[in-house]
Amino acid sequence: MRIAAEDLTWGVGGRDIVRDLTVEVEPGQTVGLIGPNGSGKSSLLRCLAGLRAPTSGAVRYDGEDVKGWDSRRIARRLAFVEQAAESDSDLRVADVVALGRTPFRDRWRGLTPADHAIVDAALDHLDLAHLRHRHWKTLSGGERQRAHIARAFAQRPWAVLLDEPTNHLDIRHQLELMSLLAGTDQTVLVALHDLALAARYCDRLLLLSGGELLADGPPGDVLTGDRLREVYEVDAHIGRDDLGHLAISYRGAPGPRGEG
Amino acid sequence: MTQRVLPGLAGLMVLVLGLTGCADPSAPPAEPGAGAVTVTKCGQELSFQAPPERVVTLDQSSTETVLALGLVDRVVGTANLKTKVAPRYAADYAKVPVLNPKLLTGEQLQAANPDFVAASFKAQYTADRVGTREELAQLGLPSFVSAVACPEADEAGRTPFELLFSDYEALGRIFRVEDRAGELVEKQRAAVAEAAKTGEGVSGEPTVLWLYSTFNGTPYVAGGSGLPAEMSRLVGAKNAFDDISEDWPEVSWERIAERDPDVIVVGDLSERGAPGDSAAEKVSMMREHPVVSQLAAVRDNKIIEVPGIEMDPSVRSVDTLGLVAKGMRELGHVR
Amino acid sequence: MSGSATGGRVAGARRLPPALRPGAPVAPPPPAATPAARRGPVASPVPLFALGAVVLVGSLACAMVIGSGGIGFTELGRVFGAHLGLDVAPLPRLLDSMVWNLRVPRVLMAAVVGAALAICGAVLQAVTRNALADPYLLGVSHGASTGAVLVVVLAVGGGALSVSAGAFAGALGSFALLLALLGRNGLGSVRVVLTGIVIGLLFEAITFLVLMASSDADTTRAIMHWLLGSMASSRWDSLVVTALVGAVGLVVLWLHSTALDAFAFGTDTAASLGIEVRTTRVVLLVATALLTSVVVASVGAIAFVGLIVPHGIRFLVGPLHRVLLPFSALAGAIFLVWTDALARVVFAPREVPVGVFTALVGVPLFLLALRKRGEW
Repeated sequence: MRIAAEDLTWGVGGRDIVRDLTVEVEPGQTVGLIGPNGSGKSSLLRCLAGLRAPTSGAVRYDGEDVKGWDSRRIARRLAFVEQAAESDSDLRVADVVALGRTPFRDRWRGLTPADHAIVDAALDHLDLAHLRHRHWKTLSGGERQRAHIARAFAQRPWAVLLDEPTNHLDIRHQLELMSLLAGTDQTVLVALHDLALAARYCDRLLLLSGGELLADGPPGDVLTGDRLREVYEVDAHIGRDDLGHLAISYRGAPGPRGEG
Repeated sequence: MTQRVLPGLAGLMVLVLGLTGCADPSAPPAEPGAGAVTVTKCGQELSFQAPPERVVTLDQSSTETVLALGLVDRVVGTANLKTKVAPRYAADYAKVPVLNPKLLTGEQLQAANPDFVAASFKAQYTADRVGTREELAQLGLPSFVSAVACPEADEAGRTPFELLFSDYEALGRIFRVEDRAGELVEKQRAAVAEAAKTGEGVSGEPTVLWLYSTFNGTPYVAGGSGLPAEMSRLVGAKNAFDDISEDWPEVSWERIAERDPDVIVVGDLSERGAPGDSAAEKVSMMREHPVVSQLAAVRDNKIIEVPGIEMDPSVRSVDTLGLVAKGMRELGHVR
Repeated sequence: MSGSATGGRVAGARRLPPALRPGAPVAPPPPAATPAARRGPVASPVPLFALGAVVLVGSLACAMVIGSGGIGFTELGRVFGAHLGLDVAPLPRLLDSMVWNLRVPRVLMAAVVGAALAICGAVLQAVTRNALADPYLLGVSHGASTGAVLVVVLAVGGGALSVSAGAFAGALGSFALLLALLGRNGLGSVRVVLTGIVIGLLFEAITFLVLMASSDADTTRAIMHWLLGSMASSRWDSLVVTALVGAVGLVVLWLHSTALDAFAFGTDTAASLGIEVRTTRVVLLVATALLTSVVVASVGAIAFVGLIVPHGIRFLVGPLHRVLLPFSALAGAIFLVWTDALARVVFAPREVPVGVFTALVGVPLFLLALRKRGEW
């Protein structure tokens, strides 16, 4: 599914957080959304997910403006995974993943056998089958995050939008998750803190700063020393490691007068 | 789905308001047969082909009234005793089952299978107590309320004592004990007349404070609408709190001090046994209060003690009337 | 195709299985995945619910023979038979009336009220994401008291309005004020809780103010019953209304079970699943307020049921609302039927306000459940 933002502006309390942003994500791409805190990554993701109505501009899925679409229609096309938030739910993992079938369910019936098959497949895909009967409260942060992602996959969406999904995961699961996301046919748009992870797994990076799109392109083009100094205020050198992956070495945070 | 639910809920609200909004319609009046006795009590017409044989009384006043008319053999249950029954009725009282020492419930009333219910106050006849008078009427159960409880229904504008006497007369007609009732009325009317005579001799118009009880240290006194106000008038005095049109309003000791009553009538509720119920406790409370203890009535001990329950309309009220009249004489208010 | 530009994947990364492909038809699951196997250690809710229903019917029958009048099961049968037109010897008129007009509606009302309060408690706990929420959180019971007091003391409505109708109108009035104060954007959990508490306090103060205007001891006592709860005024007409509203309310709330589950994970997650968060919250609040208002208008404010029953049931059958709500209703009904019966007999012939017993019985049960869960 192609997702596009056209001159998108969104703000709260009179202040614009995303400003005149135009971007188009091609079907099947794995796009990383990077930028420092407060750059508008989360807000942009939510606008693209249809969770916030833009103050001006438009969001389009496959060319069609989604203004006025009801939540259910959007939920059948696109899944969204928040940063892991506090929850005192104690549902079983299988039930949480089954929430992903909500956009397709009839209120009166329970889950159909087809729904159950999809939930099972999602649990397997995220390596959670052995945890399916465990209660939410007994899971680690990483397990919960994977369960949310399984839930997103259970929606069978055309696109998946994720807000910093790797925060609570240990290295192995971070790499596995990113690999999973990169390998899937669906359009993926993921906000990331970790630049190396973004560089390694994403086809394309969008660099945000102050609500504006500063750079858009393959990781090699977007991640340059100048950019990093300008946006992240750090002194960094970009190279390649033994495996040929993009490697960033940080030399320090330059003081106000540019010393390192 | 949700768009359809909200109008549905609104429709439901209208339905509920409609069904619950209308108060119960009053029961159709009973058809009096030939030779039947008909009595109207507080707006309801009660009709009796024959004297009732299974009486249940809902409070102490009606219990004692019924016993005073010698109807103990027809009483199958009593309830809500406030204090010890007067000695002259105690033997009869012991013969009757006590259905509930406090307020009677609807179930207990109906389980006792009565054919006549008597109460002194309207407040008992609610859905969450014994049931409304309309409900009971629909079951063919006549509900008697003392005329003193609804003076507004009385066109003749009679005094509370006369209303009380009309109760005796009505009960006399219903139970075919007109003679007994007549005797009782005669006796009590004479007592009232005696008190009135004392009243004519009273000089000035001394103010009387009727102190019923204290709750949490706050005094409850007689207001202008109850029997004590009438008793004050009869003995040539004025009720200190005549201006408050309630039966037993809650006031403060400061206000009492302000009004500086000439005589204080203190109700004794020792049998109830709550703190501050006995007359002695009330008197000591007044003696210890910084302002009230300075009042002439307290310093000079112009205090009359009466049984608390007799301050409410009942067969025993004339006794208190007598005590107060006597007190007036002893305290030197009579010329 | 994705991924070709970076080539940095961990070797052997899994492609999306066919079952998860968007738009693909789904093959039926293999025969081995039976519902039982899928459920695992979780008990099947349906037989448990059937058992609960049997317990409820038994409780109703037992409660109907408990109390004054010496009614046994045979007599109960005769009463039902007589009123259903069967050929049985009826009881004496007043005894029959006691059972049919007082006892039966009262016991049935206890079941309806217990179910309604338990479900409202569970729903409010989910909507406000607050484990201590109960049906009176929205201030509705105090609004009802104000409405009742206005009818009784100030004779608002001029005698044509019954006390129940006044209480119901008062409850809805306080709820309308709550919604107005919350405004367009304010249905967030904390705001609902705080505003509800404030509204409750406001109407409580108004109630007492009006009571002061007529400090008639009898009126005060009569109004107090709204705050303590009393099943004694239950009759067939109030039962039918409460049961009707209760049934509709229960169904509406149950249909929103998935939304209630999703709310626990936050509004964005819920919205991303296709749930219209704002509309759903309004519907849930309105349905809960309506249900609570009818209950309070009929029997006053009976405490603890809405707070405790959902927690106890959550321990037994889990937090999935599709299962939790029906079981809470069942448990609430059984609980209140028994506590009302106890209130009638333990200190016979005195009748204790049922709210005393819901606390006396409910709190130890609740602590037991907490202990089992290791939370106490």
